[in-house]
Amino acid sequence: MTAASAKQPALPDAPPDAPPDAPSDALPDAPPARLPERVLQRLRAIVGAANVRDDTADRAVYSYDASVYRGLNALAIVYPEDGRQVAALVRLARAEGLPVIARGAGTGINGGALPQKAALVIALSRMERVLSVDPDNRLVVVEPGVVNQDLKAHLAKLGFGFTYVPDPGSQVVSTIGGNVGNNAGGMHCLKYGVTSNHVLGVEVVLSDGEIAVLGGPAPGRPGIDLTGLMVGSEGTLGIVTKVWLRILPLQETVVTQLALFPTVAHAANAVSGIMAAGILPAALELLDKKTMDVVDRHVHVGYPSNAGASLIIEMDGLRDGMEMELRRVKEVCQANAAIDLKTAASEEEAAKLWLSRRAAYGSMARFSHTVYVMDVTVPRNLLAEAIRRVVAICDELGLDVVTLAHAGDGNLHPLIPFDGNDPRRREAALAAHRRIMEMCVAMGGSITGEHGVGVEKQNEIDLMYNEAELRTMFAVKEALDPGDLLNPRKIFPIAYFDARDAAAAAAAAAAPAAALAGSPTGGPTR
Amino acid sequence: MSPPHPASPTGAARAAGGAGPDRAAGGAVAERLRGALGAGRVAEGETARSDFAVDGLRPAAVAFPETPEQVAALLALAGSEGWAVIPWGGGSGMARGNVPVRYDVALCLSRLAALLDHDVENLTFTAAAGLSVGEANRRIAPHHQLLAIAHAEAPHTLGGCVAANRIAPRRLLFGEVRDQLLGLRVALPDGTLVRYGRKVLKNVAGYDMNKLFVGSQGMLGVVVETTFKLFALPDQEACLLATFPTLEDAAAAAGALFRSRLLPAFLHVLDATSGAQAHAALLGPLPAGAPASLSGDAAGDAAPAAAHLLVGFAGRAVTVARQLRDTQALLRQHGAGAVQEAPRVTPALREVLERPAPVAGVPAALRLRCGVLPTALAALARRLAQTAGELGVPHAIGCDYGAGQLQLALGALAEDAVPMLVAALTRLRAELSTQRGYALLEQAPAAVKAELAALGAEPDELRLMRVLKRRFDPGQVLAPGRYLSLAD
Repeated sequence: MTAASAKQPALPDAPPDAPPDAPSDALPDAPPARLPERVLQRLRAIVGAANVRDDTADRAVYSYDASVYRGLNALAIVYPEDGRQVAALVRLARAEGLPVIARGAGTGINGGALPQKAALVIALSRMERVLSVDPDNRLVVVEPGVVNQDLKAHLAKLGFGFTYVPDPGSQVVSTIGGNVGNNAGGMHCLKYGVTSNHVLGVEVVLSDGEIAVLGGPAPGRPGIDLTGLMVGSEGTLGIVTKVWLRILPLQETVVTQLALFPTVAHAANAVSGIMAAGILPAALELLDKKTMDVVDRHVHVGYPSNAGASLIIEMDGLRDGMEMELRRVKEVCQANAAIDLKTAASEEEAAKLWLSRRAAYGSMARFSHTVYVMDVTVPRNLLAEAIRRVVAICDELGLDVVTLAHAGDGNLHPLIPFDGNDPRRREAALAAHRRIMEMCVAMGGSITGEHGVGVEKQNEIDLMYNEAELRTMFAVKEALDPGDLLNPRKIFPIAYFDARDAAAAAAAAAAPAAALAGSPTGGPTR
Repeated sequence: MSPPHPASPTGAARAAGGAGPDRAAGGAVAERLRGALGAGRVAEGETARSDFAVDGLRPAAVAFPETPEQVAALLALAGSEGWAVIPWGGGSGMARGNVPVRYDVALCLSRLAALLDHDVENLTFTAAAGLSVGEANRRIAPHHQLLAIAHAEAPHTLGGCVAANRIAPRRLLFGEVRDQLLGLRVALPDGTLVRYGRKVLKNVAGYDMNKLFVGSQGMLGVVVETTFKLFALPDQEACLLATFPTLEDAAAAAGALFRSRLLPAFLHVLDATSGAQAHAALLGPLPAGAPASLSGDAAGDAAPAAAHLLVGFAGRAVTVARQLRDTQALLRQHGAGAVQEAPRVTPALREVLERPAPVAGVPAALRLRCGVLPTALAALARRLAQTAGELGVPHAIGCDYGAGQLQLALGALAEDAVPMLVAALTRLRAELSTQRGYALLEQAPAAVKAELAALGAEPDELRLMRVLKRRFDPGQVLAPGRYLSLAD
């Protein structure tokens, strides 16, 4: 990890108020100070002068995202208003040899929006129109800058009785484009799946500046599932400029419950018991004792002192049969020594129960300088064991850890609070992260369930895949973005890009014409 | 194990088009294959080659590898020999695709059928790609679980469902194949074996490589192992079959259900022909002359049923009972004539829904599958019925409303009907394209395939598929020319 972290943006060395242009010594290439005026003028010609920013403060702002990392300063930030502008920007960037990074709300915590190379940032936040709402066909078409929660609110206001289901924790601020880029998860994936399961098609600007429309409203399209390939590609294969999303009718009934258990193991057993009873809850959210303590100090839930784990159980569906299922849930909870099982009597009460979960990150932030948010998965039935091992690893490294989990998905989020200004604590946190990822892979799980790889895990992705598998995955990147123009130097180990760049430089030296990155698609004439 | 029963369309094509030019003499290819795989895993007899004919073209030899490593070795050998390989699952989707430009080896996955892991507590299932969905469910059902990528008894293989991106029959409850797929192991054309995904519901470590092989028709690699998520086996299933005076009425009723908070498992709008077949499969044949007055309680529906709506439910007994009640009322509000209840989808009904026949008992000569917005289905059905009428060809139409799918089956085409049909389908594709719809030839006579790309993918999508094909299979080992041409 030490060697790896030297190559990628390190955990924050600089306090937030450091001079914005302070050199980022973690990166090999120093960025050019400014884009030449000639290029700025062309950017302004595409998106309008008001939609190009390159003052020092703005450029520095875009060297951050919600992760604990920092990237290079952006060369400039542009705010296009439609796919054609994005395509024109990509063509210009390509001609100028400038990498581009598409960015939504910047709430990603894997560093995926951070410039690893001096890059033009294409902020999609002004492409925020809902283009059509079609409940008869369970379909909406939106631009990528639409905020997840705003789409839900928009649908609610229309009163058709439909909603867009995916609800990542960041939903109040994160955009649909960002959700698509990271294949975001959320609280209701057990029953409804992740973002990818709700994306029917995308309009995407490819690395050659061509616009391609992939997918469409009906499933079973002829040929490769290219929409599915784009979702979760973290902006490295194309820039999504329009999205066809599935919406679903609201459920007739939603019942939210909070169950308290003496230990995480009891709660996890209850999860398995509920599933074994043939019940598919909409959500199963678990907090461990320490998370409950932190949350309680902040939002005053009033957990009893003997509660060692809490589980939010949400069920939805038709009224009929709900009572029977709730009875089964109650039996399973009792069989697992539940201390308490509360059922929300109203939407307000349900919101209050959810607050204990949704407030977890915010509560942690009140108590620690830096919180390392981890995101790993294991097969659902191994969740309790995984949490036990997370605690053991952190104990061994002298770190505190609180763990919450999308228990139904086997997706756990260990949160490690530490002093980000202390390099030794930072090293310890990174070491814990590495060991937790190794452990999850060994248990048959994944190094990331819903947050993505970005820069954070690019040197750990080989825990999941052998050389042939990773090379094959990289072949997709090279096929669609041969010049590494789109969100460069992400997802794959840095060594892959170093080798690619060295080969490109050698080729350029041999034959200057060949240095031009090849068109991925051969262009429109084909 | 014997080779899978050849799909009827292949047989039909063989009968219609003859054996076609066989490219490589059987002996040399079979000999090399035996050297690589072992003698018992290669067949070159006339019967085997004919069983694995594609559009009348026969392979020089048929290989039956028994391990993923043997599949990989075969592909590596094919690459070095310059052979063209076509992978086979259960064979039911082999009528898709353009007429192959070359075809040396049929790669039959029927012996790659091991169940590798059924994690009951985790609700996941891993098996070799040649296992059928039916056999998988026979193994899973005792644990009260369900693999829902196809009908529970379906003969389709796990790998075939992925490669063909089959429409999942109860997608409204369980999602598509792509939604249920958690992991794949794939043999690539260069002979490497790769594995993506895990038996977890969430995994965003790098690209979602599984999706590269969903719908790929084997053009980028051969799926050798699959991992899916499972569901609790529904306690109860039930269907309602209702008659309607017009397709539009049936579609409007389907639309009302689709918008409602009820949770049907499927909604099929069927024309008179496929509706009668569905009726026969579920409840016995319709009495002649009185197609719409069976239930007795639907007084006054003297008009013959031009359309049917089949609605399916699955779940707890109480939720199924409630939905049957509410749906019957809703159907009547929408002008249903007879409404009859039946227990569940039988294999015979599955056959009607998957392959409506233009004339009962006679296989179709051409099958077209369109994907459009659900609300566009009725108009499309009417238009295609008109086209069939103009051609003077018997036809059947079935629509999976919730999936926006329409399937048209046509009877035998006279030779002089082909240009008119091709022109009509070309116009249709251009119009569907503006709505992001598609029209895929599931099966067609060679004369039609010669004039019309079988896949019908959009130019944007074809461009990207070509880029990937060039990268993954530069030597064009896998099914060259069947789904896209690199020469354009």
